[in-house]
Amino acid sequence: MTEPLLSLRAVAKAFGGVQVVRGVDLAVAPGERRLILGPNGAGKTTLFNLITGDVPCDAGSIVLDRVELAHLPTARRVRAGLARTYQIISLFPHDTLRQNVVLALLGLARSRWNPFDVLAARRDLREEADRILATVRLDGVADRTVAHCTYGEKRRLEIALALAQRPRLLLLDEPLAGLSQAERTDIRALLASIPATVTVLLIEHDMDVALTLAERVTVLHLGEVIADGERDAVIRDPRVREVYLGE
Amino acid sequence: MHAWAVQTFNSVAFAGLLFLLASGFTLIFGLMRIPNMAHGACFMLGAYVGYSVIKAGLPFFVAVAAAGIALALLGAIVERVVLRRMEANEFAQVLATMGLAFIIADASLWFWGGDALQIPEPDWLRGPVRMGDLVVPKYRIALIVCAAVAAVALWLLVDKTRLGAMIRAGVDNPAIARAMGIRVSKLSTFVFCLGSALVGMGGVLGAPIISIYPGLDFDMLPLAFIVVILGGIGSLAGAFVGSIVIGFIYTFGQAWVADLAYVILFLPMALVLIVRPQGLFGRPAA
Amino acid sequence: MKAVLIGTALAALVPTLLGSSFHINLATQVLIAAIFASSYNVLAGWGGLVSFGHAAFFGAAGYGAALLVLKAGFGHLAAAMLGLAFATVLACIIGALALRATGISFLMITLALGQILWGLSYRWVSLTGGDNGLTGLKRPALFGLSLDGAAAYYYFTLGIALVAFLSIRRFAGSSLGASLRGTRDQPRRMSALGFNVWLVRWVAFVYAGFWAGVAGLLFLYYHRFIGPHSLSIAESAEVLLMVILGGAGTLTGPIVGAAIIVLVRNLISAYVEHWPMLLGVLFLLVIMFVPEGIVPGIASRLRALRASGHKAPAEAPPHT
Repeated sequence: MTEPLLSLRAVAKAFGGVQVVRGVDLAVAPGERRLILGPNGAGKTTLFNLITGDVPCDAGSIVLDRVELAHLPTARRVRAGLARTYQIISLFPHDTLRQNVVLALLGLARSRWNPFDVLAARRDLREEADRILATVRLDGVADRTVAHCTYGEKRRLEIALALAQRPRLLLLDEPLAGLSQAERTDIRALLASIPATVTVLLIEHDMDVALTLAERVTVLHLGEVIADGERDAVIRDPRVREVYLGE
Repeated sequence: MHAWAVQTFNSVAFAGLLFLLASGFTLIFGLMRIPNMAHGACFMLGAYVGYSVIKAGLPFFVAVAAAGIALALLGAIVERVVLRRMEANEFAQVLATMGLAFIIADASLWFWGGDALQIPEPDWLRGPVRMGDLVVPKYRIALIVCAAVAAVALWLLVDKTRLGAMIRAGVDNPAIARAMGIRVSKLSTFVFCLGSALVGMGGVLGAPIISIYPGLDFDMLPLAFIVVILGGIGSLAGAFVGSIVIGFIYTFGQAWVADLAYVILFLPMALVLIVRPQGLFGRPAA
Repeated sequence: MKAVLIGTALAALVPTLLGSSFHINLATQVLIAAIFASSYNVLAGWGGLVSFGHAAFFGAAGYGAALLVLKAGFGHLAAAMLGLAFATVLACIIGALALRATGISFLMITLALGQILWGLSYRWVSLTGGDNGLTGLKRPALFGLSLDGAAAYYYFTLGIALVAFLSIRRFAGSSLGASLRGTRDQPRRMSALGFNVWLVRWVAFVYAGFWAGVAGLLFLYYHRFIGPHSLSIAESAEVLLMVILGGAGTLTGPIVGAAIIVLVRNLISAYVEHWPMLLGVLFLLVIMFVPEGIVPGIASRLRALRASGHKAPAEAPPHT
C-alpha cells in the first residue's frame, strides 16, 4: 500500500501484572476507514489511549506521517493532527454547545494564550463554531448548556469537538454507544459524511453500522491482533467468528 | 556524648508523641481520603480537656481516658452530622474540617482563656531515672511506652482483625470494598472517632512536655502532615517510621539550627511530595 | 459595564459617606482583602487549584519591599516594584514545584512550601525581626500628595483595586481565562484538544501570585508593618474562606466574601467576642448548605423565584 498515515509497531502496555496490549502492529492508509473490533477487555480503548498519549506505552513505536509519537505528550500529538472522541462523554458541562466548540477551536490557535481579548466577542470563532455545529445538526441548540442536552446531542457534540480540530487522523471510541436506533442512523450518516481527507479509526460494537462504514477491519483479542484485512475477509475468518461472534 | 544520648532519647519521646498525632491522621486520610485539618485542633482540645479533668482533682490517666472519650464523641458527631453529608465531595470535607478547626480553636480560647497552661506529670512519674550513664526523665519513658502500646494495639487491629482488614480494603480501594459489602461509611465513622480519640489522648500525654496554648493546633497540624507525607498516606508503618525520622530531625534541628528548624522540617516533606507524591510507603495516588 | 461604573461611583463616595477615619480605614482594608481574594479566585475558582499557601506571595511582596526600604535604603517605588517582582518570581518557583501534583497533593505541597517561608520569617530574626516583624515604614507621597490620611490612602487603594478587578475580569473573559476554566473542568479533554494543561495552570498560578503581591504591598503600606502572620496558614485559610464564602469562580463573590470577613472581624467583634467561632460556623453552614457560595447562592435563588412556574432556563448562566 501507499505509505501508511499511522503505523504502530510492537506497541505494548501492561497495567500492574496484566499485559493489556501485547505487541500490536497496525498500519492505516491515508483516507482509510478502519474498524477496530474485539470483545470487551480486548484492549481497544487502551490502544486508543496509547495512540493519543493518554497512557504512555511500555514499548513499541507509534508513527503518524513520519512523526514518532511515542514519547510526545498528548497535546503535541494532537498538534501533529490527531483528534479523538471518548467512550465516556467528556464535555464541559457548564458551558453552551457553542462555547464547547469554541474551546476546541482555541486548542490549536495561537490566541489561546491571550489574556486580554474578549472571547465572547470573537466573531470568527463564533461563526466557525456555528458552522461546525451545523455539520452535526446541533446549530439549533447552540446556546443550550451541555448539562441540559440529551445523551444523543452530547454524543454528536463529542464528534463536533473532534472535527473542530481539523484532524488528519480521527479516533472515534464507540460513538454510537447508548444511542437509540434513530440516533444511530443519524450518526451513521454523519460519520459517512466525514471528508476523505480525514482518516478514521473506529471502535464500535454496533456491527450493522460499523461494518457499513469500514473498509478494513482489525480484530483484537486479549491485547493481540488476531485478524487484520479487508472487511469481508475478516468477518469470514474462522478465528474471528470463534472469538468474537461466538460461533 | 552525653548530650547526644539525651537528644536521642528526647527524639524518641517526641517521636512517640508524633505517632499518636500522625497515626490517626494517616488512617483518616487513607480511608476517607481527606487531610483532617482539624486534627491539630483536636490535639489541643484533648489537652485542654485533660487539663480540666486534672484541675477537678482526678488522676492523670483518667484525664487521658476522658480526653480520648470526649474527642471520640466529638469525632462521631462531626463525621455523621457534617462530613457524611458531603460524602462524595472530598474538597468540601477538607474545607469543613478547616471550619471546624477554627471553631474548636476559638471555643477553646473562650473556655480556657489565652494563657499557656501546664499539666504536671503524675507524681509517680516525676523525676529522673538512671539508665547506666544516662539520666532521663521518667515521664518521657512513660510517653514512649504509651506510644509503643498504641502502636502495637493499632497494628493488631489493622493487621489481625476483620475490622482491620476492612479498613485496609477501604484504604486500598473504596469502590471495590463497597462492592464486597464493606460499609465504608460506617468504617469512616469508626476511623474518624479512633483517630480523634488517639490524638486527644496524645494531647494530654504531650502536655507535660509542650504545655497547652492557643496556636498549638496550627503548630501541631503541619507536623502531622509531614510525618504522613513522608511515611505514606494510609500506612501505619509509614506513620511509625515517619514519626521517628521527624522526631529526630525536629529535636536535633531545634538543638543545632534553631533558626532553620522549620525549613529542615518542611523541606523533606516538600521534596517527597514533589518527587513521589504518594510518600515513602504509600500507594500510588488516586 | 453599568454595574462597574455604579460600583466605582459608590466606592468613590465612601469617604464622604462614612466620615470617620475608622470607617474609611475599614473600607480600605476591605479593598485590600478583596484584591487578595480575587487573586486567589483566579487560582482556586477558575483554575480549580485549591492552594493552602497563597499567603506566601502576599507576605513575600510585603517583606521584600519593607526590607529594601528599611534595611537597604531603597526608595519606595523601587522597593515596591522589586518586592512585587520577588513575589512573582516566588510564584514561578512554587508553582513549578506544586503543579507536579494536583488535587490534595497540590494542596499539601503549597501548604508545606508556604510553611517554609513562614518559618524563615519567624525564625530568621536578624533579617525579618521574627515575631515582631518589620516596623517603622512610612507611607510615600504620591506626586507630592501625602498618603498618610485615611481618605488619601483609601483613594490610592481604590485606584489600584479598580485596575486589579478590571484586569482580572478581562482575564476571566479572555481566551486564556476560558482555557483555564477548561483545565479545571476537563483536564484530560483539554490535553486532547491541544492545550498544554500544565502551562496554562502555571501561568494562572503566577498571575494569581502577582496580584496577591499587589495586595500584600497595599497591606504593608496601610499598616506600615509586616509580620509573619501575613505568611501564615491562618492567612491562607482566611483568603480561602473569603472566596468560598462569597462564591468561587464568580467575579463579585471574592469581593463579597472579603467584605463579610473584614467587617465581621472589625465590627462584629465589638459586640460578639467570639467572632472567629461565628465565622467558622458560617463557613460550615455555607459548605453544608450553599456550597457554591453566597453570591451564586443568592443569584440562583433569585432566578428560581423569578422563574417559578416556568421551566428552568436553558441558556448558560453568564460567566460572571
